[in-house]
Amino acid sequence: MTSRRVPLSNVPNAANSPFRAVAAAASKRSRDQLEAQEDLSYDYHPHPKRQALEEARTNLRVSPRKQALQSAEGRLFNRRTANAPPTAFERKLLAARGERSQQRVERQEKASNEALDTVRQWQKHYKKSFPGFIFYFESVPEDVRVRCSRWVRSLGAREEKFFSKEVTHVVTSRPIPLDSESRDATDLVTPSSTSTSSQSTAQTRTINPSLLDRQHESFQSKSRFTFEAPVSKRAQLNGIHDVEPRKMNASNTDILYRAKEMGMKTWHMEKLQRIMNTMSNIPNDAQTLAGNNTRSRTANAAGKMDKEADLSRMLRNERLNGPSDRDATIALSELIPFKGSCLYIRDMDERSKPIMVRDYPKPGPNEVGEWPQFHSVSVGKCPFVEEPVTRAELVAREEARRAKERAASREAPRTRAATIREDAEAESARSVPQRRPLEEIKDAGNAPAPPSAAMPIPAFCPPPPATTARPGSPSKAARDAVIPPRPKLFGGEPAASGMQPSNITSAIRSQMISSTAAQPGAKAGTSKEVHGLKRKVLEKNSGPALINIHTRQKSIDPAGNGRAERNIPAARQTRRQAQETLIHIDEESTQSEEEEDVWIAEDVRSKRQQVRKVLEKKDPKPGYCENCREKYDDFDDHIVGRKHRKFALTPENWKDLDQLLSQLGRRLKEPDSDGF
Amino acid sequence: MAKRPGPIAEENPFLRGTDLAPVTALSEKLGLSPGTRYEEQHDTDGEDVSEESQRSGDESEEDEVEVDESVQEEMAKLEDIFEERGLRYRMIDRIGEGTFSTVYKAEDLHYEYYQNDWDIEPKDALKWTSPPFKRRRNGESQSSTTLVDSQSQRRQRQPRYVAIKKIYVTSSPMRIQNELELLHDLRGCKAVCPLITAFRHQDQVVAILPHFRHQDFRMFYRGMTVFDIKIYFRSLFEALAAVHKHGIIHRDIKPTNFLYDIDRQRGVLVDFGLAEREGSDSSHCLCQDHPTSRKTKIESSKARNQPIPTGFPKNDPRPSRRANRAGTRGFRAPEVLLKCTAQTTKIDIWSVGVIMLTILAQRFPFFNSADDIEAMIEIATIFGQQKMRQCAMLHGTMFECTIPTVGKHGFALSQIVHWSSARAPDEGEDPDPEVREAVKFLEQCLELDPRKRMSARAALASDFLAKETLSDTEPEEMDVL
Repeated sequence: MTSRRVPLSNVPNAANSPFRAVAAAASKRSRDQLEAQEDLSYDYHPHPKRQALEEARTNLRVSPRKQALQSAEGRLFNRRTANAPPTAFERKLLAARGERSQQRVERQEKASNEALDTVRQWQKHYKKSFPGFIFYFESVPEDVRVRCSRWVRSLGAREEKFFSKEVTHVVTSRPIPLDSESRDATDLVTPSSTSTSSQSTAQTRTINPSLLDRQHESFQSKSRFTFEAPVSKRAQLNGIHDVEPRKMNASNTDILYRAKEMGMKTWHMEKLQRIMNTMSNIPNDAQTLAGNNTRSRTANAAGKMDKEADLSRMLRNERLNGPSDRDATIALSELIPFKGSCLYIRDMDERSKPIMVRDYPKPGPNEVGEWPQFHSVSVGKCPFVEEPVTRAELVAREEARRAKERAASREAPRTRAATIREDAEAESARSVPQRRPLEEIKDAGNAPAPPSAAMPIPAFCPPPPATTARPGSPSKAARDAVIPPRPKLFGGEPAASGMQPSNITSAIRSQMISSTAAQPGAKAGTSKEVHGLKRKVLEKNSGPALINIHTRQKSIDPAGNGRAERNIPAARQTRRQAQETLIHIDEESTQSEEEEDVWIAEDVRSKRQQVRKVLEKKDPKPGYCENCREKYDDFDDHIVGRKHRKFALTPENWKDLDQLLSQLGRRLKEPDSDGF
Repeated sequence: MAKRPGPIAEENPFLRGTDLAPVTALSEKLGLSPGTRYEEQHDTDGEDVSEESQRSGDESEEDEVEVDESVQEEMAKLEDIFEERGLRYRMIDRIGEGTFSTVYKAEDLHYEYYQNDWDIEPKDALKWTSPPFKRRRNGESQSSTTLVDSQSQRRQRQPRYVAIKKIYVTSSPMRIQNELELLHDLRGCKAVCPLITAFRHQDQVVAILPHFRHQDFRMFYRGMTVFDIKIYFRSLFEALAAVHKHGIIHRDIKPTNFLYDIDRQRGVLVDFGLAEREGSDSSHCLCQDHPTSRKTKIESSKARNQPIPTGFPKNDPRPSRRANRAGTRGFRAPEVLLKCTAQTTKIDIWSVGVIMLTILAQRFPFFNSADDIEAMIEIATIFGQQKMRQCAMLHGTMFECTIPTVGKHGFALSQIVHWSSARAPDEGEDPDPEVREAVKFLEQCLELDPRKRMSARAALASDFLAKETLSDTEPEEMDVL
């Protein structure tokens, strides 16, 4: 530090600094910070301090376990220091209290109609009263605010950009002060220290989540009075800290106090979110079935629906409330959260690993998800594979867009806010993609029919899956989609056979072949299958020559001198090497041709082809030998290997089989049964 | 372009045995060598080819030639082995290649020396060729040369063809033994491809099987009438009934493993490389429990009483569930996908159902199923969340799915069949009662619960198969038996 003296209150480590406890928890201040402080004038001094503070806060926000794990999730949260989102502890409480009780409630709903009715009643009540509400968002992150305000407006309420008398509800992410506090607030320097007085009351009221925080704050503020804040001890005790840096508003200027004074309701952000959840969760059901006489049936139906909606709701809750893996009910250490549409099949008794897990990324607004789904395809094609669109540019456009998107998503910082925004977008777009396959087919129908197409072929035309297919709609859809006469045969053979890599559009196909370089698919974002396929094509086409070279190099130059060669662009290398081998093998094969028996005699192919033939024969066949229990790089090499030969020549290995084979001999004809 | 099945087929781990046979059969049928066939394809692609045409053309030829050359070498090696053992087969071509074996077509040069009870051809020939031959009913005991001569109109040089299955030397003796043993057990089942003989030369095991004339499924599945379907499935279910009666699960029922000859209206089941005896290597699965005890177990299960998961464990130390999953993608029954540990012969019935769905929906393959998960999603797309959840619970698993295209109730199979026929609206509304009957039959095959799924015997006794088809096939059966 410099000799320049900093006011005591601003020195984080000063014994009587209000931030002492916090600062102590922070890691050592970095050199940068010190230097920054040196350079700064007095005016700016609070800044580094705050920096330190915030760092401390972010460190503390995460539970020790989380901290230790340094999960990506945790880091995401740490980054968001700006507008004080709900702290881990709050979230935990909420997750524990809100989510659990909600779920419980919903579980019970299935059993009891009253509970469901209560929820409906509650919904009704809020639906009615919402239009009168005027919200003011305070200390709420911008993106969250936008989202909330959109939602709030959809229910008829209004958002006020500025705090005014008109406001009826203040939504904050900060802890809400108590009434008693607002009274005392004027007397105390920092709001947080007021909590001591309210501690007893806080315990009785359990509804306000901020109160729960308060208990810890009070604990903390108590310790502050002892001047010796044993941070580590507190950490052990609580696990999670909430050290919100109060805005240094001198008491009653705080908007929350003002709101209290003005008789406005103050909602915590979480409360609004919970309301949002509940309001949208038994959707329509409440309204449409409210007048239904057969209550029990409705209740059952609703209960079932809930069950169905459970997963999606959970996902949303997670997005809002943070991962629920802090939930004690989940014993397993860490979860990889589902982000998109998922399939999850797990052991009922949780004794084994999940049987199937896959999380498909959310499709963009104009995309179909990557998972298998029905497509309209012409006869002979797999209905789960999108039929190649004939117009190449359509595909190219699509691919380019996807590639761009992918690139964008790679660049985009994965902040939580961003995730939320994306999710929101995806959610709003969710209804769109489902209809898409059909649309595309219609589109494709307008494409000019290739001349080779024989006759109109009826198309497989499932309805847009999401519209829960009334029997009426498919036939209509069918009629719409019948039109395109498509080429059903490729070279006299139906294109969809078990062996066809069906996801390949003609555009991609032509790309694969046309690109002489070794990266046919790289120009477009391609699906997994395409990617795999690309590899195969490579292996089979440009591959053999290449591999051949490698093996040759290996044999010639085991010291790895060929490595330098490997850096030569593959295509060029191939060409050069191929030429060499060409000349070399040409002779060999022609010789062998002369010597060879009938087989070659039958063969009327050109010499040049013969050469290639020999070239590719050396294509190594990797695999696994069950007998040697080892993987091999080349079948032909392996089976003449010492280990394998030893196995082959050990009679014990074949004892049982031989016994069987002895029964399988071909019986000769009885000599007298025929003329032989 | 790029429609060469070769490379892909080689990559496909599930293509075994006769998988490639159709290609050859097809080319035979078309009277083209495979090479020429590929060349033809380039023409259909039109302008797209232009500058690349020469290159890709060369490549495909190259592929073919390469295959020929190496195949010839392989065949020569095999012939050496034969010679060493005093056997005489003239190798003709490779007709199939898979993970565990390669199958060649060959001419049985010493056919006449052996008892050939396995051979259905002469009998069939008698039955199918012109009446004058009928009187030679007891052809078996007659001089073969006469018989061969008499059939000269049918085939030009009366060669007796066999399929030679070269089981890779990297396959364990256990696996080979299993396959041969099961085939040996099944001898006498007319719908199962019999084993002529098998022998071992050092580590090379070779099985000789009859070469059964058949057509590529892809050539005929679209033109099938309901009657054709009945005949086809009657034949297939007869084979399965025999196999299942022996307590054997084939595990790999698919069109390429059921060699069907439209003319003779008969098929044989081949490739028992994945087959196993029912109950071998199986352990208890919830699906074996009585429904009530299963229900209580499900209700008291751990996962059931947990909140719906929002993620899956990152580092999961638990063991994974193990079960035999052998089979071909797209044809695996749901219980196989769910790793049921007590799989039964019913998994074959599901596969038959998939074949039937393929035919009725005129879409091949019907399921793409790049992997088990996609297979599950595809099945779930049809059957819907609710049924899948029940199906999963049957095997002690919880099914959660948030994929929007997987509906709650899915689609009825009749709907799917209806869309795919997509008959012009004028015809479309009222489907054939026969088709409806077929769909009903299909529903019993594609039943998610293996216990409720029809057995092969029940299928043969069902109205759909029993009625008119019986009268037609009975004489044939008599003939064979």
